[in-house]
Amino acid sequence: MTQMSLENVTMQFGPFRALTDMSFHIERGEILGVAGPNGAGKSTLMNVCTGGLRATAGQVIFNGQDITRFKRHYRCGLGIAQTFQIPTLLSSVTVGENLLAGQVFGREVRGEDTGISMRDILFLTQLEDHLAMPAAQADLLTRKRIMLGAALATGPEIIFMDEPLGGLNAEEIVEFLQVIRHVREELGITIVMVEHKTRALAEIADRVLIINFGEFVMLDTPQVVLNDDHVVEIYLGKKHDA
Amino acid sequence: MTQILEILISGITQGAVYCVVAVGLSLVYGASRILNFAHGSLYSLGGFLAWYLVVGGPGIPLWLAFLLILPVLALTGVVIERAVIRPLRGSDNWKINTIMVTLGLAFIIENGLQLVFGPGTRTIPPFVEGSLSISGITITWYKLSIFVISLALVGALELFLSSTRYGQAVRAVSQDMQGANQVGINVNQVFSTTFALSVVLTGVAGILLAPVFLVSPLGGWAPFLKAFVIVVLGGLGSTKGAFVAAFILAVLEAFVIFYIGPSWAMPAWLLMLIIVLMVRPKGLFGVWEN
Repeated sequence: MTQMSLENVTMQFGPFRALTDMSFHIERGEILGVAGPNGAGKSTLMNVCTGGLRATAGQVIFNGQDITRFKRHYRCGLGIAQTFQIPTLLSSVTVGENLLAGQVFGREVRGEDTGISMRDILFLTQLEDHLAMPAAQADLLTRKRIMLGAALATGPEIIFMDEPLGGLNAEEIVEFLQVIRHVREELGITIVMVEHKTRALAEIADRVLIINFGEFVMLDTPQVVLNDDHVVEIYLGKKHDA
Repeated sequence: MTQILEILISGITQGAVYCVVAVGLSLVYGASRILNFAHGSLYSLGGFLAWYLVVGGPGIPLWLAFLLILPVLALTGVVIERAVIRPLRGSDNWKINTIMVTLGLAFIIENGLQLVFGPGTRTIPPFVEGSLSISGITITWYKLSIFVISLALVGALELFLSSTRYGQAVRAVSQDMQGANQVGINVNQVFSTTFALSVVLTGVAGILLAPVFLVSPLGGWAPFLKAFVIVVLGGLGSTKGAFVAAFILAVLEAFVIFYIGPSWAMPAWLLMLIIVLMVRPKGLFGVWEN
């Protein structure tokens, strides 16, 4: 079932066109990976969906509603959350208060009941024992968990994650992928993640979207996408017969 | 001994009003990283509006003038934030641009005041006369009342920031704008509100000090400069820092004026600032920006 769809979305920055005529659907409850070379427009695409940017042309539809012109805080209220590569935290307060910020401010539009309890969030993000810790003292993985927890506390239906694995070591990647998987499985939240680590992406994603130069290239299962000659070419350059 | 106590008390009462101006400047810087160079002209604007309503124009009582002026000041703040500052946000070098633009705005307000009210200085009679004497120490009732009003204003602001939902949003935005936006806080609304509050604070200080320091179109620069020194000394964006710094500097000022002379007050402030910044480059309560 389609949860969000982009219809002919174009994003223009002055003379530069970051996204061109982008159309695709995001299915409810899926993990959608977004990949492409640097500068392909991945972050722009996320921001057009979450409200950080307003599409120059085209429409963003969420649960049947045209949200193209809504601001980020309002889209957050509708159930569209976002996390960033570099954790954005309220660093002078505790971990618990960071999560509370999401609960207090993120649920305005739909009222209080979003079906996601603080207990679930704490369990999933494994922050139960760190509630009273000052957020400033947390290590990178914990900071990422706090940011995810605050995003979950807003009671989202979909989360856009910009390079959630950036900066983590191999062990931490496994651990955080497990957290992301649980978020989808336990809470049924749709996840869209931009990630450079293609192997991890192939492992977790149901479908992978490839974009290049701001244009749609393909959207299919990881197996199909990562074995596609054209995609390999985009990433590694043309194969030489020799 | 009595003399020293009197100087001390004079400094403390003065400090409370400086604090109101400085906290307004600091509030906007903390939430939106904007250094508002028109802060001083808005101080003058408050003074002139009160002068017009109480003395020059209809001659209404001061408390009524307050009730009329407060919404005007708040609205002025919202309009400035929306029309002048918001379009610049996100542009290249927007922090520098906002300084230039608010500096220009300061000139516009000042010259506007000169056009409307003329270049002369004005004064408002104090709303209470007489003075209080306790064992040889004398303080006018007026100074005592503006001290109490100023403290109440700063206290109310602290209460607003610490325990209302809206104040929490302001604090969240000042810590991480993107993170605050991410959890559903309307950042633009926070910017508007803090700007409105800031203009109200500085305008009210302008009214309170009108009977003591007079009002003139260009008279806002001294309080602006003082507020700026207080904010930097206290640590940019820290309300607590501004509070402490305001009292330190005002007491210093009172002693310098008495023992050396009024023209040495500002050099003493700047000297104090240099000394503190040499020891603590981020100010008394400042935190490093990333």
